[in-house]
Amino acid sequence: MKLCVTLIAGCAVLVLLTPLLPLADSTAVHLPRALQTPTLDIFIEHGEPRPTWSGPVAAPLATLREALFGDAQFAPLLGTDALGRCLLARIFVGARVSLLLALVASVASLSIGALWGAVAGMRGGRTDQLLMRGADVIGALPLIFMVIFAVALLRAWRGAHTETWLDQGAVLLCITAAVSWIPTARMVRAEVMSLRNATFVDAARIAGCSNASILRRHLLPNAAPVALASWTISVPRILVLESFLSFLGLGVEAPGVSWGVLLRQGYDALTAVHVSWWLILFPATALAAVLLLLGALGENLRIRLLPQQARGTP
Amino acid sequence: MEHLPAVLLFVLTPVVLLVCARRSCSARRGSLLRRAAWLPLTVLCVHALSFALVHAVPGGPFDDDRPLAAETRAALEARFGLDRPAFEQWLHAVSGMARAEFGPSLAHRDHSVTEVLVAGAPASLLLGALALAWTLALGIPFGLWAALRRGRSADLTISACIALLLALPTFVLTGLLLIPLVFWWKLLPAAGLDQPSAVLLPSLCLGLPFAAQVARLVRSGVAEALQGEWRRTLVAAGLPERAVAFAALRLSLVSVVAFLGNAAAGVLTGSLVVEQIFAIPGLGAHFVESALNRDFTLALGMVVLYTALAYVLNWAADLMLPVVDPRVELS
Repeated sequence: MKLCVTLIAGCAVLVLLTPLLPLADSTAVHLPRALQTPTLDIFIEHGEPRPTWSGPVAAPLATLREALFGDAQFAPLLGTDALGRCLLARIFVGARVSLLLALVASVASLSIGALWGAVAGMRGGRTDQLLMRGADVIGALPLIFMVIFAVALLRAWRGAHTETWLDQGAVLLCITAAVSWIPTARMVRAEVMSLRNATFVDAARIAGCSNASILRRHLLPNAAPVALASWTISVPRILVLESFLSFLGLGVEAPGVSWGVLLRQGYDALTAVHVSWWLILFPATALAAVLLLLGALGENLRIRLLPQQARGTP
Repeated sequence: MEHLPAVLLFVLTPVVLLVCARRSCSARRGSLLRRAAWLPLTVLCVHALSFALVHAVPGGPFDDDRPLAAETRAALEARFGLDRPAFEQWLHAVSGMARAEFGPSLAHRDHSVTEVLVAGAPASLLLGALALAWTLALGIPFGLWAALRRGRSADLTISACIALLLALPTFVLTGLLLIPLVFWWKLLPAAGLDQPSAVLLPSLCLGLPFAAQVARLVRSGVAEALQGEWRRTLVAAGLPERAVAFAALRLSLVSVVAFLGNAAAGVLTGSLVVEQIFAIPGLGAHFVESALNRDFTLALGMVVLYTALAYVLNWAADLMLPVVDPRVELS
């Protein structure tokens, strides 16, 4: 558990501090050195183009990097892609996109699910029936196909209307959040229902609290462990969904980088003549490592937060 | 008259099945009939949703980089019936669907959607069936082995592999298997379906995550079953350890069969990726491409086909349950 948390925190810090690291420009096309194999011969190189960062956090970090490292930066240690871009830098930049998206989408799905489940559990009766049947129906639809469909259509639409506010990332985020809240809703509902008749809730009701304030002050804080456990399970699932869509060419678009996009480009570049194994192996390893870590964290948290539920499973 | 098959399929069949379900004496048969009744309704619902989605988003199949002349466009739209009101188009599509006709494909000119689907189906079906075969062929023996060697090194190795396989998405796993097997050691062909060995790796990549899930179910099921009282009786009666293990395996198969429905749906999804990586001429490619090309008819046909397949496979898995464990029928 401790090791797991440390490793995840380490990944998070690395990803946050990417602008500070002396990495090559992930967008700098450099055709003469396309498909370069990973090498440790040249570790540091000078005078290559440096990435430009914008944003309130990234820009100061980039300035700091200038001050610290000057024009020195890592050579393409993990090789380069078909356009000669440094894979190491691209994995870092892709991590920012993939992980941020997974984080935001999972928080959104957590809020939808918790609210939905809490209202259903609190109100009970007909409202509960209606809300949970709704969730059942949504869960029964072949969501992945609908998602592919919706994303592809929105993308085609965006091709026609370039000035729209709806960018691919936002579409991806809304859709992943919209399809992944159902397990959270079920878990929170069950928890709220089991708490609804507890004595302290009765006491609060006698004291004159409204339903909303009982929900806010008493039920939701008590359901928080369950919600947190389901959140840690949903992060890796959303990460997989995002990279799956990006892999199919429906997620993050080409100039943008995410781990799914990197894998897709890796498969595209792979030919019998030039076996560019590093373009698949390294992004795949990064994704696999993060998924395993998050999975282990989720399992650990579930056992800690829900001991009574975890005891049943071998 | 045009709508008769649709009415029969989408109204009469569910109603009849639901009435039968209500009247049937066994609860289990009732629930199976009810689910059969919901199949046409689910398909109809998904079809309507997809249709609404397709028509809600502006733009059409004839929006090219080079704009068409107004008359050409009008003629094309009239030919494919796109100039009629949306509801009328939908009715037409539904009544066609009841006759398994989805109309002409808008992007694959001169081919009907049914033709396109039939052309891609054999490759996809072969891939999916083989993947399910791998699922069972690897999952059950390894799960049993792990359960019998509980806590020993074989169990720990298998459990670690299960955890690893469950965490990895198909396209990551495929990459990790593809590069050494195909490109370094050159054991298997890289793409296509022109030789029998070419389908081995794609189906393995597709089946492995589900095999891991099956192994996990078998492992915990057998281990739990072996704690029962009957085990002592069987051993005392002189049955060899292997026979006892098979008896325990049989008990754990219920959860495996119940999971197979989910696995089949997952295989359908996963085949989109695997077919793309291995350049297999199956149905998967049409899915993304038809939505991107705004080939409405083909996209709807694909959605309906996949929904119905996933539903039927799930249903079939439930149908199989009492065959594996007669106690299911009794309860």
